[in-house]
Amino acid sequence: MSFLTEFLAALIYGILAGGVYALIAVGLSLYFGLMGIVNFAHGSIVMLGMYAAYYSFTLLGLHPYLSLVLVIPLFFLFGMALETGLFRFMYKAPHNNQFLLTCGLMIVINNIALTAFTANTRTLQIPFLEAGFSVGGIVISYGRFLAFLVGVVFYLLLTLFLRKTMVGKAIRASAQNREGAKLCGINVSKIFTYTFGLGIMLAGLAGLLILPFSGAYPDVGDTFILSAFIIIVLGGMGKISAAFWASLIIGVAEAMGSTFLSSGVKYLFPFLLFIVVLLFRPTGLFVRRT
Amino acid sequence: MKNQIIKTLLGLFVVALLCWLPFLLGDYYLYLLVLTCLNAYLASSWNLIGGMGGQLSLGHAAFFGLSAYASTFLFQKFGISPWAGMWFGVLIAALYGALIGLLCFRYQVKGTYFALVTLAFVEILRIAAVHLKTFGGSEGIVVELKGHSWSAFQFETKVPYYFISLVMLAALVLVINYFRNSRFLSYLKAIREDEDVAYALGIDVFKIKFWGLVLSAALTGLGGTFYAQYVLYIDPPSIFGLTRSFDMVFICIMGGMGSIGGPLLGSVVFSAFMEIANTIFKGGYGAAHLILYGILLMVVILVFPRGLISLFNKHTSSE
Repeated sequence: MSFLTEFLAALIYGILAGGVYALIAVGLSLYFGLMGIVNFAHGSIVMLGMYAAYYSFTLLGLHPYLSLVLVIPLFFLFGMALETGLFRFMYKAPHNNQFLLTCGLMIVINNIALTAFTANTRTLQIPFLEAGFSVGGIVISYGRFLAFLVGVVFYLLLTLFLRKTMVGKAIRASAQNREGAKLCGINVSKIFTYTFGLGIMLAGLAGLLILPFSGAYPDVGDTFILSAFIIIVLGGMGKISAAFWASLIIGVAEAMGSTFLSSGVKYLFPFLLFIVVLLFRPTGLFVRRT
Repeated sequence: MKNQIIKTLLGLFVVALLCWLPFLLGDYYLYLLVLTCLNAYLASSWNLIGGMGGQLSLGHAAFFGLSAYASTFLFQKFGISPWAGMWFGVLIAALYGALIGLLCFRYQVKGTYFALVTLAFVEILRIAAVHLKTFGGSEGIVVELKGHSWSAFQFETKVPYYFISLVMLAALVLVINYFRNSRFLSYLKAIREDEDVAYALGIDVFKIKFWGLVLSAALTGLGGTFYAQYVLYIDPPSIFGLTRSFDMVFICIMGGMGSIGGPLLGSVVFSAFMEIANTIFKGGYGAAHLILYGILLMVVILVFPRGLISLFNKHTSSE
């Protein structure tokens, strides 16, 4: 393979992966912007999404993409339940305690998964999704391509939702100024519940999209959460469009790294990038320095 | 005067009990006791910068692991006694802490951002350890048994390990307690409460945070070498895994962040809880004890944000 094809292949794979990362990071960033909570358990929700898709295929015979109809409402409700049952009680706590509480939640969710689903890696083989089409010698699997498409569609839907609907506007208003939104008659505590539900729903959806090309195991969320943190820090915490573009950047950077760097360094690459970004652009690439 | 005598007697009684304890307990409980001491020691080290300084580090596994790897490597390859290698490990841990401190504190990385960067600094080491074959790669290193002797830091029974860990813990706690009103620790606490105000009052915020982290890193490093010599096996997930950093933080927050007794109480509660949960769920329940552990942690953070020690002493809970 020539250098140019390798480069293009890495670029395409990176963008495709970035579209899925975007769902994880955008959800995390969405409720961070509103509630100021950095949720360590977000990656575990992605893991649950993967298992949900896996079991709706093996037990109910639903095609992974059809299980959307199950996963979306289920995770939305789950997110709302988490907010009302747990997160609601920690808004006034110090930030460090909030962060550690979500770490505790991650431990609980991961170990419930370990107990319920065992440590075995679960993979789903769907012949159609594993097949692919070729563009100029670069083979792209349908699974990855569709995942990217669905990811982008949901991102656009979310943007539209936030811009055009009343609830969306209320979410943005509450994120800008909580007290002001309250004074305008917005039920901020309800908005928190919905927003958290949305974020969790997107994470579950991401899990479903990832499953066809990546195995599910109880700790799989750790890798996603680290990538998601890198993305939202790179983009600037709390801005969802920034999180989207940063996802594509990180996706491409990882793909480039794994194509052109030796095996040891390629895993280090995202973290080095992360540290450099945090040190020199702690407010993110897409947010103006104040 | 009377109070003084009672205190002294009580102190003597506790010391006598702690010295007698290893001969009372069976091998298994002694093993747990050593880990409890070690955990209390590590949590106390973390507490310096994390609890007293308010800098939420999730990267202390890095210092722990660097020292564990360094002393073990020197021991295996060059036959250097862990007693000497330990100081080399401490030096490396302190240097890594200095690097993190220099970068983060110079560029004003704070709060959750600091937690995330320190996390990345550990991940880098974990990945490096997995890929470097010289340091055992993903299989890790089994520490060679070189006969039971003090110079090899290997003993026939667990009693010497117990006394070493107890001395380490006691020395650390007594020193911190002695200096609890020192300028350095007071500055650290002032920075935790409000960094801008501390700065306005003329505290060199960077310098205090920097040395706090370096000191905490060095102390954690000492614990790393002890762990390697005690368990005699190190591999990337057990040394540089998320749980390693989390345990120090969690023990500290359960007991009471920023207080001197907090890490001790936290470690005892942690060990006791794990042991009881393990016994109840023996076999067949998967990771039920860890689920309970997570729940306990969340409950403590929500209900006792100042840690369990605030139950005993309302005034000194978080000085």
